[in-house]
Amino acid sequence: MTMLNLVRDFLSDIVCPRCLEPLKNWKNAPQPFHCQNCRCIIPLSYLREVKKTPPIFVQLFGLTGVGKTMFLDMLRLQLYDMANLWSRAFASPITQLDMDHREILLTERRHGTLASSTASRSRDQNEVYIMQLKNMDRWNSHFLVLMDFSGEQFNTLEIAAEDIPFLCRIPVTIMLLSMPDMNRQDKTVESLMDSYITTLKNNGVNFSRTQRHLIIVFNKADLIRNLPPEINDYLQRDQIYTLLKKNKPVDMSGEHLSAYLAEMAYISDKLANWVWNSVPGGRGMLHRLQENNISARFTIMSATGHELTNNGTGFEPVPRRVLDPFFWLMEAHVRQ
Amino acid sequence: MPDIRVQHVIFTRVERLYSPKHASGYQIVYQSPSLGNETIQIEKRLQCFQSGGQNIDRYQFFWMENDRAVLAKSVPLFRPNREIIDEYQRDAFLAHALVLSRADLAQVRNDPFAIFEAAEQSKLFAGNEEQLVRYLQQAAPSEQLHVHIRKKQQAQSFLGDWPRGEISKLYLLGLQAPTLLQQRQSLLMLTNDTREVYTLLSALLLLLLPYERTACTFDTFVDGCFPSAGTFWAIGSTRQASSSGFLPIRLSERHVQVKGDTDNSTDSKVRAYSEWLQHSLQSCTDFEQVNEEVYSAQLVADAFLAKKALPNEQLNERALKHFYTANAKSIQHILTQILSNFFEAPLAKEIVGVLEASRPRQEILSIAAQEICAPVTLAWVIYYWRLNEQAEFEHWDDLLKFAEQANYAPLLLMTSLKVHSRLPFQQKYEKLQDKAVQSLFNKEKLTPVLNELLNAKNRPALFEKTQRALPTTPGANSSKGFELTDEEFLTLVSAILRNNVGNVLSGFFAQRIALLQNKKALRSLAKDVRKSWNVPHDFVNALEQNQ
Repeated sequence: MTMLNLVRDFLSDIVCPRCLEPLKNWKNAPQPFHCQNCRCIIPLSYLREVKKTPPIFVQLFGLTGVGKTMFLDMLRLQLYDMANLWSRAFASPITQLDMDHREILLTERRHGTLASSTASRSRDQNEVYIMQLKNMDRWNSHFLVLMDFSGEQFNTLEIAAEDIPFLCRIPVTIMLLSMPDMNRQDKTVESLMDSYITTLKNNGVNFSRTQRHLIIVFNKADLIRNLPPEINDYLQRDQIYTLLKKNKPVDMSGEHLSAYLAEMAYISDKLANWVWNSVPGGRGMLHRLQENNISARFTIMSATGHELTNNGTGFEPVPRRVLDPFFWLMEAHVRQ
Repeated sequence: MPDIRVQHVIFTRVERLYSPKHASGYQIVYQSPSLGNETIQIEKRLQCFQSGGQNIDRYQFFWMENDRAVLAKSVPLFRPNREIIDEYQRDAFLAHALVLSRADLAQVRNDPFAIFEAAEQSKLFAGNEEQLVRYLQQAAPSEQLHVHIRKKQQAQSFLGDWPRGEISKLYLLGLQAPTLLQQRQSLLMLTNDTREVYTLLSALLLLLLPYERTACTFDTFVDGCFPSAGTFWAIGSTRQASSSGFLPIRLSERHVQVKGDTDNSTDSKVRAYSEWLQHSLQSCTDFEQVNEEVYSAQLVADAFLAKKALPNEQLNERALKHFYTANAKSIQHILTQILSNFFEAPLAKEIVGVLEASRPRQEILSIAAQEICAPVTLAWVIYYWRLNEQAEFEHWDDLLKFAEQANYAPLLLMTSLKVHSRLPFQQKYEKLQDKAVQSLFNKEKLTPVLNELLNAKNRPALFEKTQRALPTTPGANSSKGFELTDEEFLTLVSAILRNNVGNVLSGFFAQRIALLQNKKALRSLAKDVRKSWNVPHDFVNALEQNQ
């Protein structure tokens, strides 16, 4: 069964963007319409356009301090500038919450104010951010549905999956790793992988029947000392954020995008080798992926572009390769 | 001012060195040793707090499954200590929860804000990294808290600038708390001034009866962490919810929309308190007056709920008046029911009027609250009532029966004299008179009572204290007051002589005996007097001269 079929099956009904339960009788329902299960108010534009603009759910997985919130913020900042990536493309917030958050991104994150450490939330307490991404080359239009979680929620072998609805029900997950933090805290990549696999298995996910896809992102890559020069160079070469911030176009259309994706694939393979050879617990992680039929793509990123030294304020972020996990996500959802 | 026992749960983000589980991140960093795994429930409610970079404190009140109350304060930590809280110095927060039993909460009249105030005053809540570290490494937070009962909202009461009708609606929403929670709904207080939510809830809970307060759980600031509707009775936020089930109240508009039945309270005694509030809101010139009355009115309502006496402390007279006026019909009904145990309905109703007019309001409300009146109190009232009324009265027999039951000698003497003269078989009444005389003599009350019975000038004004007028019987002329007929007077003198207390027969007795016309009776009396050894000379002389 292909990835696309899985997603298509899942989306044959319109589902609540927070709890993923099918929405019933929404067509003639009075507004505001809310999910009968989690009572989340469903934006009208989502209901109206979701058939033409299928949602892409972003599930992050990573320990505290790894940079999940920063990644989501920097990704959104870049996507709001996506009119400079593709000729007819644009990104819009679809709720007041998204609109307000966009202001925060533009006024705070862009100027270097660090986000608070993310607090844990129950499922119904968590807010869903939805961006409408229109007219992307290769992937067309989608709603990008984001929920952020605290690292503490992933810090046990059996994660409370009921609070993290996308984790078990969406086949693609972005796993963020910070090697500098892991080394300092005597943690290994294997233990995080064990949490992921154990939680999914305990929640009824059958790995042999349904292939899962992991996008494994080494964040804070500028702080990793033993990266191969080639990969380090790949990280440092990324100027997309800087160009977009200056309102300069970055051509990501047609062949350019294909070339970019090809390089991403090349880097992924290189990183897999690096994991095998140089990351503590890396072989164990790769064995686990193989054993459980999990396909993995590897990428590197620096969501801030440099170390946070200025007391968390006033650092000018220069994020690098923040679009890569997003591109892998789009590929996983749409192209496979 | 009770001392209550509080246990503690402190939740924040810490680095590994300060973590009980040696892991960085948000977690419970301290809990009282007597608490167990149940603190997970507390953690669930504390774990999310997003101040959005503003210096906002969050206050929460909720219940655990094991029936323990939790009161928590959360404060933001801006650029917190790198070694203690977060190596990246990202903004974080620190939450400190107090856990207490239902009984301890009841000790402070179920008023979470009294506890918040006490905890703030004693600087109990961990408010920064330094205090947190002191609690973790030096001395655990105290488990005793001295709490002042709140009797009124402090000056500049927030509700003062709310229209009275809207205060009523807020109050009703407080009464509806259990229903709202059952229906998975919550009030959403929308305001940009987040301190307003605390002040409003503090004032509103003070308006509610203590037992109504327990359902009024709240979280004063939920931005970025909206709980499911129905988790708390009320929440505060600067923005609309993205889930359903919230009933918004825009505080700046000072307007409340109440859906459905506006009085879902079926308990008539809660209604009595509600009636007081409505009446007080209408009658008082400013809200401060209502504020002054609240505590007293609640003590009255508490007494009604528990069917117990009002406390001995002096309550606010205006509150008592408003409570009484607002509930006059039902209070009179209760009093009539009480008196129906002793008297037929018309007389009972008449005595209710006397009782209401003669006793302080606090006492009347206390009687009504208990649904019981001590017969001796009632007998006292009736005695002085009849002393101040004209003697013609058709219910002397009923009063006599009651006087026997109440065993109140002044009334027994009074009524037995009145009934005695009208009936042919007098022996029974003589016994009652003897009993009354003996009792009064033993208590050294005989002379004052005789003076009251014989001389209108010696009678206390029954209604002077209450400054209320006795409801007048049509055609009655009460200016003269109680009188004994000649026959009744002679019966009284005989009773005195029979009981060998003839020494009291001076003064008014001598004056009165000089006026008697019935020579036969006087002669008979003279015989009895001669047998007695202690009758004063002035009486003997007056008697002899009149024969």
